[in-house]
Amino acid sequence: MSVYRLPFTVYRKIVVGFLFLSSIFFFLSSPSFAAERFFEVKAKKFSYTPNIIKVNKGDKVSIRLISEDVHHGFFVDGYGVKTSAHPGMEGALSFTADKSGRFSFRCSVTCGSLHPYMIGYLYVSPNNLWVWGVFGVLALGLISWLITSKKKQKDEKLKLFGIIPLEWRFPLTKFKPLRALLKSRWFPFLPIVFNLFIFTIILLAGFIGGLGAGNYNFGVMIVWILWWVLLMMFMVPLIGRFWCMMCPFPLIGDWIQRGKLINVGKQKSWGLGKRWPNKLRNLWPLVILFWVSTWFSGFFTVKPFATFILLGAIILIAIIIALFFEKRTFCLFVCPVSGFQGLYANFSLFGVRSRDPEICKKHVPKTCVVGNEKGYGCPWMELPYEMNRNTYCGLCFECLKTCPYDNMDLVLKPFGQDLFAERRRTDDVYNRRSTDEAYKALTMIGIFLSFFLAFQGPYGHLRDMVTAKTFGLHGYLGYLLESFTIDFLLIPGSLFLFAWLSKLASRSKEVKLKDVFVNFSYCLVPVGIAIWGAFSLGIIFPNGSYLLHIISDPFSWGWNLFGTASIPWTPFFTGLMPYLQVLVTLGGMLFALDFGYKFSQRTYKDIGEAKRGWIPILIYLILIHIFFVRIFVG
Amino acid sequence: MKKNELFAVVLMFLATIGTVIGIFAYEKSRAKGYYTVELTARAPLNGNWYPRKFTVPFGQEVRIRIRNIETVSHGFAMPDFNIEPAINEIKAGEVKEIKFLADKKGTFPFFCTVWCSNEHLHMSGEITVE
Amino acid sequence: MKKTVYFITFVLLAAFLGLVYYGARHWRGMPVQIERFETPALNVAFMDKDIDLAQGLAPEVWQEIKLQEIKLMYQVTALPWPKIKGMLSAVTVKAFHSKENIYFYMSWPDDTEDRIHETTQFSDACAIMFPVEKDVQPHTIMMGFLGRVNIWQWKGNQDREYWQKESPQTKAYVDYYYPFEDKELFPVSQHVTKFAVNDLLAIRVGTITPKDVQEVMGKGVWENGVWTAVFKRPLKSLEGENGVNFISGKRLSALAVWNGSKGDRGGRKSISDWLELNIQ
Repeated sequence: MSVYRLPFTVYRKIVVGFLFLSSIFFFLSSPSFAAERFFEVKAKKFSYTPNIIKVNKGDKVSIRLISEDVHHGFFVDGYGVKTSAHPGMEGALSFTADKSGRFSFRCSVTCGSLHPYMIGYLYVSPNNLWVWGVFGVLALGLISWLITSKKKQKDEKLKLFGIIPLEWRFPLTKFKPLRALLKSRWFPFLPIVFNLFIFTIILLAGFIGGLGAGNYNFGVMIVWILWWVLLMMFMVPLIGRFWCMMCPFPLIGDWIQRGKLINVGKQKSWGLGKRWPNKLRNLWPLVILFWVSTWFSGFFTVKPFATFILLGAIILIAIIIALFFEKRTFCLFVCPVSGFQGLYANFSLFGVRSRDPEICKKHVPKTCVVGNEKGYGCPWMELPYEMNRNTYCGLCFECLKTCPYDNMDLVLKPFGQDLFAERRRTDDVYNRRSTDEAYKALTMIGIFLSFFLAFQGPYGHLRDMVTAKTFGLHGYLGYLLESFTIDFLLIPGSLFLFAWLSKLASRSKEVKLKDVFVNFSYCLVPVGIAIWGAFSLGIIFPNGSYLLHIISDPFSWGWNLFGTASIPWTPFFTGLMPYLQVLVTLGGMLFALDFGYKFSQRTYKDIGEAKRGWIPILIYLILIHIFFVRIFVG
Repeated sequence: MKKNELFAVVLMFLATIGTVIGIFAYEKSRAKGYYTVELTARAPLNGNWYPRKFTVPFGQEVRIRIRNIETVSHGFAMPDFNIEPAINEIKAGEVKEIKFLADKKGTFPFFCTVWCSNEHLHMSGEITVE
Repeated sequence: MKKTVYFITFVLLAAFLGLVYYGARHWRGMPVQIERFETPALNVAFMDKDIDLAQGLAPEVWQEIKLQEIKLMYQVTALPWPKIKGMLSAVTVKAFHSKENIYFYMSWPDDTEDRIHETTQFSDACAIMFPVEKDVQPHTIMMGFLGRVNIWQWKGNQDREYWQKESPQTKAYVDYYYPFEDKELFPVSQHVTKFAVNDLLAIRVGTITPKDVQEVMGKGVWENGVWTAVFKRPLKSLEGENGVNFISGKRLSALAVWNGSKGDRGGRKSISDWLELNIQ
C-alpha cells in the first residue's frame, strides 16, 4: 500500500511520536556531577594542544596556558574570559562552565599572520544546541514531506511557501525620486568613485603593510572582514549584484573604451573590441578562476602585501581585458567574484525588468541594446527588454537611462523568482540552467567547507597546509588535492548519487539524469547563501572590533584619525553566534525545501513522479543540513 | 555637459592621486616639532632594528617613534636614559612614541625586551649621542 | 590601434610588476643585510688529568686549553634594570673531560668580591645550564621551559661557607625568581648547603628546585678584579637516564653571571645565548 494513501491521522501520530522520542533523547543528555577540571594548554602558531577540550556543565575549569613560541592569548567565546602567556611565563584562567554548547577559544594577542584564525573548541556537554539543530532539520524535513506528499496535482502557479506568487513583481521605480536617481548619469558613478577612494587606501595600505599584521591593516580588514561579510550576508542575498553596481574595478576600462567618464560618447568600444569566445561564454571560467583564487586564501586574507598583489592584479587584468575585448567582458567572464554573485543574485529581492513587453515589441531599434545619446547599450551584453534572470545583469542602469518610454523598472520580487525563469526565445548560449551554474553552486559549498575547517576550525595542521608551511603531499599540494577532490568530485558526486536515486524513485522513463542533476543543484543556491552567511557571522563577531582600529590608523603608522585607534580587540555576540548560525542554516534549508519540490515538479512529467523523485533529494537536503549544523555547533 | 565630464574627471583624480598625496602629506606633517627618529622593530632574521645604529645631537629632547611592522610583539629598553613613557610591549602593528633627553655623550645600547623569535637575544642596536 | 593597445598593455604590466618588485623588497621595511647567526662551539677535549678542587683551581691545567669568549647580555625582560654602565659583558669559558669527570672553567671581570648574600647584599655567582632532553626549543634558554634543564649554580657565599668553612652571615636571604619580582622583600630562610654549587632542575620560570642528589663540585677564586670558577662533575650522572650525561657528541649549554654589587640576584643576571659543547 502506498504511503501516500495513509490517512492523515497516521501522519499526526508519526509527528507526535517523533517529538516525544526527541524530548526523551534531550532529557537523557542531562548534566552529570560537576567536577574540577584542569587543562594544560600549549599554544603555538597557530593552534592549541589540546585543540579540543570537553567538560560537563557546571564543572570548574582551570586552564594553564603555556606558550611554545611567542606571546599568545586565550579567549573563550561565550564566556568572555581570557588570559595570555609569554614564552616562559604561563597564563592562568579559571571559570565555571555554566553555559553548555560548543565554544571556540581563540588567541587574543597578535602572534603571527594567521592570528585571528588560531582557534580551538571547548565542548560543554550537554550540547543542547546541536540536538535542537538536528531536531530542527528533521522537523523541517518531516514537514516538507507531509506537505508535499499530500499534493494531488502539480501547482499551477508557483508560490513561495505557498503564499507569495513567485511571479509577483513590484516596480520600485514607480517612485519618481528613485527613477530620477537611477536615470541620472551621476548614478552609479558617485558610489563608484567613493569606492575608488576606499580602494586607493586599500591598495596603499596593502603595499605599505608589507608582511605586517593583517589584523591591523586597512586593506586586509576592509576587504576580507568588512566587504566580504557585507557581500555574503546582505548585498548578494538581498540585492543581488549590488556590489557590481558600485565596483570601481571596471571604471578605468570603461573610461578607455568610451572615451568619456560620465557623459555619453561613442557607442563602440575603443580598443580591440573582441568577442569573448563562445565556448567560454558561461560560468565555467569563473568556476575555475574562483577556485584557483582560493588556492592563495592562506596568503592574501592575512598578509597585506598579498592583498595588494591580488587586488592590483585584478585591476590590471580588468583594464587589459577592457582593451582587448568588448564592453564588460571582464565583469562577465573573468572577475573571480562575478560567478557566485551572478548565480546567487537569482535568489535576491531586486532586479531590472522591462514593464510592458508590447512596447518593447514595437520599439525598433532597441536602444537598451544599441544605446542612444542618453546612455550606452547594455555593457553586460544582456538583452534588457526581455531579461528575466539576474545572472548577467550588473545593475548599471544604462537601460533605464536609454529607454525612451521609461519602460525599464527596478522591481521588488520574491526570493528565488529568477531560479524558475524560463529559457528565452533569443537566449544566448550562456544564459540557461546548465552544468556550469550547477558546478558553481556545488563548488561554493566545497570551498565553504575548506575555508570553515581551516579558518574557523581547531585544526592547526590544516592552517599549516593552507599557508604552505611545507609543499608536499602533507602540505600545500595536499591542500590543493583535497580542495579539488571535495569541490569537484565529492560534493558534485554526492548530489549526482541522489539525483540518480531520485530518477530511480520517480520511475520516470524519459527524464534525463543530467536535467535532474542540474535542476536540483539550484536548491543549493539558498543553501550556499545561508552557510556563507553563517560563516560570515563567525568572521565579523570575533574580529569586527579591528575595524574600529583600522579606520583611525589604516597604515599602522600611529595615526588616530577618529580617536578609535586604541580600542582593544573586543569580540561581541560570541555567545549568541552559534544560535544565529543554526538559525541561518535552517533558514537556508527552508528555502531549499520549498524550491526543491518546485524543481521536482519542473523536472518530472506528472505529479506522481515528482513526489517520488522528491524523496531522495529531501533526504539529501536533510543529511547535508545535519552535516552543516554539526560543523557549526556540533 | 562638458562641465559634468570635467568635474567627474577631477573627482576621480582626487579620489585616487589626491588621496595618496594627502596621506603622505599628513604623515610628513606629524613629524614636525621634536627631533624625531623613526625606528622600525623587526626580528633579527628579518633585519633587526632599522636603523640599527643612529646618532642624535647632545642636549636635544629626542622623540623616537618605534614601529613594530611584524606580526609578533617586541619590546624596547634603553637603560642608560630616562624614557617616558615606560614601555613594556609593542604589539604587532603598533607604534609607540617615547621621549628622552640626550644628556650624556657616548654610545649606548638598546634592546628588545619581549621574546619575539629564536634570535631575540640578538635584537639590539646602538644610539650615539654627540 | 592594435599597436597602441599592445603598448598600453605592456606599460601597465611593467608598471605593476615594478611596483610589486619594489613592494616585495620593502615588505619587511627597509631592506638590510641579515646577519648570519651561528651557535658558538666549545670543544670539550679529553685530557688525562684530574683536578682536586680542595687544592685549588689548577691554573696550570687550564692554561693549556684554548679559551672561548662568550658574549653575555643583561636579562632585560623583567624590570627593573640596574642603573649601570654596560649591559653587555663577556665571560671566558674553557672545558675538558677526563673520562671520569667533566670540568668547566668560567672567568669574568668583576670590580668587587661579593661573598655575602642576605636581604640587602648579594653574592656574586655564575652558572651553567644544560637542557636535559636532546631536542630543545630556543626559548628554553629563558630559565628553561617545555623541557627540563639542569642548572649548576656556583654562589660566592656558598663557596665561602663550604671551602672556608665559615658560618653564614645571616639567617635569611633574598633570592627571588619570577613571579615574585615585585615582592622584593620576600626573604627565604637559609637552608644548609653541602656544596658551593647548587645542582638544580627547572622546567619553567619559577620552578627552580634543588635536585635530590647534589653531584656538582665547584670552587671560585677572585683576584685583581677577575673571578675564576671551576665546576667538576662525573661524566655520568648518578641519576642515570634522568640526569644529564655527557657522552661523546654535541650538547647545548648556556651561561649566566651574577654581579652582586650591582644588585644581581635571582632572575636578574647576565645570560649568554646557546653554546654548543663538542664533547670528544
